[in-house]
Amino acid sequence: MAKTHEYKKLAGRGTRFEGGRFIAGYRLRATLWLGLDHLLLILSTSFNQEFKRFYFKDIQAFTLRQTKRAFAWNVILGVLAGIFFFFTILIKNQVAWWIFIGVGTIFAISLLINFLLGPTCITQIKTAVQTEELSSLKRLRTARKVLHQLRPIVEQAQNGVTAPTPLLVPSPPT
Amino acid sequence: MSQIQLVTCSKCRAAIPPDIFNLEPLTPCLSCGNPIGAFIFPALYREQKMVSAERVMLEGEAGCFYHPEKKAILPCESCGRFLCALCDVDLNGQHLCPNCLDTGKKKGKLKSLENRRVLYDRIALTAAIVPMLFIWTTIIGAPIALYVAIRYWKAPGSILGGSKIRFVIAIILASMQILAWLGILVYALVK
Repeated sequence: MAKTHEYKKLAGRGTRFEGGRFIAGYRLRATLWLGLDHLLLILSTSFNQEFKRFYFKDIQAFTLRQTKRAFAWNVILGVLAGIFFFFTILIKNQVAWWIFIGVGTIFAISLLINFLLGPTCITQIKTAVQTEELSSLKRLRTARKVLHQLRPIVEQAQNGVTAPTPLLVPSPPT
Repeated sequence: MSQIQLVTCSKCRAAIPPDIFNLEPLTPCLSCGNPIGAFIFPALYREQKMVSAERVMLEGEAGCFYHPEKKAILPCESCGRFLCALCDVDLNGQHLCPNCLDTGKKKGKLKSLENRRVLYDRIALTAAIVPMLFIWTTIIGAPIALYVAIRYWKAPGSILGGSKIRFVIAIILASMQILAWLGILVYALVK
């Protein structure tokens, strides 16, 4: 884990689009950092940084919602790879054949990588005044890993605030 | 009386029932069916206290600078003005008046309120390197890089810290480019 001064980088990296997604908008790279008493979300372009702090004592909840984005990309990449590999059967020209094989392989590798990264999710952090999406935690595996790391830290920081229900609820029997 | 804040599904905004809080395998949302998880902390149950300022009751009691009829409870740690409970802004243990908070934010003195930084070192380095792809554009890029590097040398960089190495490289590259152009100019004049 990268460490810079008082901040430790948490796993995950994502992007967020501000403004329009394709027209008149811009892309921000999102990273999450662990500070001494707060979480720092940095949204950066090449030349500036915007950051939001979430103090541990103010964090009310993290929510996770699994999305179908990874599945959609698997389908798209699979279809594209299939199309290109299919055309290699029909093509007689050797140069074109190698081009189609190359492009098909790129899509196939992308598909494999996307599959191995696992399902996608949307992670949000909730405080009393805002609910913010943690754009760097886009993969479920990464989000679980980071939340597993953060939960004891936040609970320790909030020690002393009475909760009417137990923090840990056992999973329901299957 | 405490008011529990709702935790909602990020898709359909339906309230997540407490019986699925802190469950490790994701559970389908009762409204939209998407697998969701909610991990809550004691702050969710924290009582939201209503703040009200007491009126000055006794002669001689200090009144707030901004509300003279309200009783002062502490001074601003920046300007020393007396503040009532309404005017007191608690910023991570530091008590400030609204004026000092606003001034501190504008002047960049309150680091915890800072939420944006321009990365001048990257601008200078980009201005020094990118024009090199087209050669002729360095005649514009090099002075810009040099100006930015010198003008913003002391400006705060990335919030994550770092050295001035980008500024140094930009100054070196820009200086070399300017010297090269001067050399070409001198050669052309002499010839």
